[in-house]
Amino acid sequence: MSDPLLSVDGINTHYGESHILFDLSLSVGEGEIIALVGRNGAGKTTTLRSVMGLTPPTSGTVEIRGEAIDGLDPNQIRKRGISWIPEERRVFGSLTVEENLRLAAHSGEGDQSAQFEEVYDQFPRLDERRNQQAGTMSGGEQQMLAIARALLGPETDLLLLDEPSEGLAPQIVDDVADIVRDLNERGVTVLLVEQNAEMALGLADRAYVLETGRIVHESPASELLEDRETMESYLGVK
Amino acid sequence: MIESIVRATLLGVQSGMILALIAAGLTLIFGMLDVINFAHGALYMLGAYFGSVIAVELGSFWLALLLAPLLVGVVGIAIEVFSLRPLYGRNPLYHILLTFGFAIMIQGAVVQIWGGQARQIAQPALLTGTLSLGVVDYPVYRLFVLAISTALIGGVWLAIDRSNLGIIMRASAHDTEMVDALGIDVSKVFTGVFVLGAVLAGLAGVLLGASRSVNPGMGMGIIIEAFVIVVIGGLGSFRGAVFSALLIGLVTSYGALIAPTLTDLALFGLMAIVLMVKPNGLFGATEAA
Repeated sequence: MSDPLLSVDGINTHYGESHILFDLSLSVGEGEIIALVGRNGAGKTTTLRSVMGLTPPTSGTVEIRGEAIDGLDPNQIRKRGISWIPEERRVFGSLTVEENLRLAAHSGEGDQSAQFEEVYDQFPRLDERRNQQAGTMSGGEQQMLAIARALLGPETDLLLLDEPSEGLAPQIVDDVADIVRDLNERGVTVLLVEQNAEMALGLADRAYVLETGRIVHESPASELLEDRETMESYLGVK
Repeated sequence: MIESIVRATLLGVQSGMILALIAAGLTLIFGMLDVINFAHGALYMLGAYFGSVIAVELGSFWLALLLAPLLVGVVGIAIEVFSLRPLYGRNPLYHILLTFGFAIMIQGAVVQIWGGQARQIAQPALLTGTLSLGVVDYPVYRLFVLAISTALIGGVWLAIDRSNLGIIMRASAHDTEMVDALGIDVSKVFTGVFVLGAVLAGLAGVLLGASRSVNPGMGMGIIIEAFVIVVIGGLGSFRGAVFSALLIGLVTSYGALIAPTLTDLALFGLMAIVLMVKPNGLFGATEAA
């Protein structure tokens, strides 16, 4: 069997003195959408930050296609095909839409203009707002920008997507879900962290449930959706 | 009357632009690296000393103007890479102590090497004499200083506003971690900004060294003024620093017309008023670069 796209093996991660992740292991195969669900404070965001090298694990390994990436800086990890969209999106609010995208394209190789036009084709709303300050756009538009920004620059094989539905109207959440599905069809593997378990499990192939920094459950997403007991005890969904 | 007003205006704009060269680096370094660089005045002084040595040894003001800032830039690289970098993310007090220590060390080294007496940088023959501007005769050298510092500030302004590097700088001042995660090696950008600040300060040192004297106290003298400018303009704001440098230059030179002994008071009075009305400075803290 070939190596999975992402393999996290027995990582422990700390914030200062506090131990957040405990011997956490998971794997993401090429082309999958994986949901990482759990309550607030379970360690979902920290898991993504550990993979991205933003909060490096203190032990364990993170491999991309069998090659260790732990210990690398976030900018080097980005160049190995991993993109991260943080909670609350963190677009550069005082920069224009175009400047946000130029920044992301900067780390890519060669001429990025074709990629640029592709992104504008895909997100016409961003095209209309090229010169608008990103901070003045709606939450949904900022989420589009954050996704577009993650796709520019070095090619993205794996997208780490943190709480994309946060603070968005239900209609917009559906739009975001469509975009994620569409990206996946075009070959982007997705590791999705969500509070909104219904949305995440509706999209995902497989799911991991996280509880106080440990994986407590792993199954196909559709099975987990049917598993009322697990849903209720770990996610508080009735 | 008109003559002295025109003269004061020219002088005010000229000294404002040169102060902007120093304050620009200080504010950009603060905005991006979160470092209050107390050694900035020392770098300015080093520029003047390197300039005076090169002007004597190689006999050319122009070579001094070109090479001295570059040498200061090399000192800047050394300071950033070997001493500031290990301290990023720690208590800001570490940076203050470190750069303050550098300021004292550089000043001490300058006295050790070149002695306590003032030195001179000879103005080039091409730029001596005065030029008639209608109502006033104005020294050619000062017009040259005005032109070159305005051109440099304009160039930096355009670069920050338009270039990819400028975008990266503004974004990093806003959210360094996000820039890193987008595949950009922020540590290189940090070094670049620190070196840019050092080069601009060194250049100001050579330019002013040839119209004033070059002495070991000049760094400490200018850093206070530069801090006042940066605070008035808004910490981290490049536009604010340029605007406020011009304001301070003009206030000082008009003040000298009316009440020469009170110009320092005017400087700090202005800062106090701005801080009372707009605590984040004229161009605010929310605006990056």
